[in-house]
Amino acid sequence: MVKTSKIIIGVIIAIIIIGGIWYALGGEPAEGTIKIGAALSLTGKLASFGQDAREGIEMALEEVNQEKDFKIKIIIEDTQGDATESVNVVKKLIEIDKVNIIIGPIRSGNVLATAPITEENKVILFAPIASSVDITYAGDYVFRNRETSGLHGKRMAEFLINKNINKVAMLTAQAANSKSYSEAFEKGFKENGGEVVSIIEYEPDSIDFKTDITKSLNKNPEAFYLSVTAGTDAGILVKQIRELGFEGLIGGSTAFESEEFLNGAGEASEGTFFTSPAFDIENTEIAGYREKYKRLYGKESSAFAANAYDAVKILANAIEHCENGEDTNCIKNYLYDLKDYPGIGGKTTFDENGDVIKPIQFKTVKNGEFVIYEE
Amino acid sequence: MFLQLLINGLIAGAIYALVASGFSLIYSICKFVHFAHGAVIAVAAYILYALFSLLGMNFWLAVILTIILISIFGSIMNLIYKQLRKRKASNVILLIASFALLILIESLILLFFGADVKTIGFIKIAKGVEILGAIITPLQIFIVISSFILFALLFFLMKRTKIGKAMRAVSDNKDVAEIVGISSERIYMWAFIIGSAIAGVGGILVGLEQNLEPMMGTNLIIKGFTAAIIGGIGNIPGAILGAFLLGLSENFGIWFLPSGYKNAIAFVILFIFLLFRPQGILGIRKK
Repeated sequence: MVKTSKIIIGVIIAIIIIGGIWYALGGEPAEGTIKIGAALSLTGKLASFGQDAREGIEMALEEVNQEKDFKIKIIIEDTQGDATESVNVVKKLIEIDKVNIIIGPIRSGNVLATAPITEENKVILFAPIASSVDITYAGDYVFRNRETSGLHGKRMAEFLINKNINKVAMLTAQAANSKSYSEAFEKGFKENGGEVVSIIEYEPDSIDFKTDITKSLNKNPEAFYLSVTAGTDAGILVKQIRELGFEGLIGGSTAFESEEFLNGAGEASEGTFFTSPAFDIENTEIAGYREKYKRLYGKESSAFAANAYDAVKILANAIEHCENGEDTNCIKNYLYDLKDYPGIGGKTTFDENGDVIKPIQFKTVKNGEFVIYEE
Repeated sequence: MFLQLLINGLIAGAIYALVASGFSLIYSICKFVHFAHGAVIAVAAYILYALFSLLGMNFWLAVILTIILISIFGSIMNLIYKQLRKRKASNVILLIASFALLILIESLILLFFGADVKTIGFIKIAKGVEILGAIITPLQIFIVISSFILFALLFFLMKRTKIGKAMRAVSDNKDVAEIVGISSERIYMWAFIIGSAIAGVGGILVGLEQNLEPMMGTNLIIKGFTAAIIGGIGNIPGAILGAFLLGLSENFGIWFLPSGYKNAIAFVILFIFLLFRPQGILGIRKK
């Protein structure tokens, strides 16, 4: 056989194979299946939070598909924790997959970047983890079952005042979410008579904060408040603060609660404390959830996984209520009307901005593990 | 406070210098921009992580093995470039190839080790030692001192040994060097082996001081490249000087400016040099 005809046959075979795969994967789902999108940060700095959300979603999905008389299919896409990539993913989910509901994104900045698109298309955006204050006004179709970070900053300010701390140095990442923590903290701390001796905004991807810390230490703070973007920058900051000889209290934002922080800061993580959603793993009412999660994924569920689990359950109820989930106005109204839904991650009621209020607790690191802070 | 900033600057400078010196060595001899050098550093850090943290090997044995393996890795890279050189590829092609290698290697790290941040965790985190009011950890002292020792060795190698003299000959004029019987391909290979070994030391020290992430090499090579240009491209002592200048001015600069301007400071210095002294600190202006 001549070479050209070999090539032609090869190309034809390749097209048939690719076409076959395309057809097999891209085929329309069975009748009665409702598609939901999920835009999660599965790689990148916030990969562990994205993974938590994914596990919560998959676990809830399996239960929903058994309980309800309709089927839900969740299309999970990776945002890499990046705003541009989040926009691409959300556009793909809306335009190609034609979803009416999207769970995610994980990071606040990504939610703020994608909310205008979902608003314009009247698509429900349900964020289980993002906590920036700005999301409150991001849009009518934007919901979240995570309390705002403003509450966290305020509680931390009161906590430090009660510990007789009057001079605090703040280190804040240049990210939407970190700024909400720090703005609320600064306001709360000053209102209670404390003095913020220095505020430094740092580049979250940096790995050398020694001069920033030197600058803060020069003002003689009694404590540090770190509003970080992820466990990685938290780990490096705490390590370098301790290496530079600071022995006082170090308080932080919720992102402290991650493997990356414990690995990065090592022994220096001991005794640091942070605010965390009051997801009570010991609660007997959620024992069934806890055991199942542990069996499936081999670890304790985080508050974030529980929020993602709740998100799927609540949305499934909304779809059932609105018959087929095509009418997002109906789903939107259902969510605004929801009262005291008994979620795993806490009782859920949305206010007029699509926000929830949930209790907050303090946690600390003891012997290399996260535990609830006790006086 | 001045002393603390000086120390912070020296530590940053030593890390940049470890990147810039190997990069500059390869540039001065092979005459092309080897961006994948950043990835070599990242690979070294991950090799140490794999040997020490995953396989539980003795730390010092793991360090020696890492340096040996990374030198082999560097020579493999030279073999790829050699294929291109054989086809008379221009420097632009080699530059693009080095970018491609940088991205490829980083993606491979991502594939094998995942995106999450790794820590080697050999050194216990504790308060540093106090010297005249400034604080520095033992590891940071070690980084600065070992970089100085390494640069002294490199200087000795280039000035006193036969291979160093041959390297300088090839660097000076490849064709004349070949006429007197120096195989330029062999010298290229040595440049890659030695340059990568320095990168290996850099990778180990950076890996211990900071965390490991797949894209760490890109950030390092950007700073190393800037330092090499400031110092005079292809001039190794210049690159080292440039690296320290960069580290010090970044850290003194952000005393007055917000820390987000760190990279801006680095690039402003780069522009000043490109405009007013394009040959760099120690470079000689070509007539």
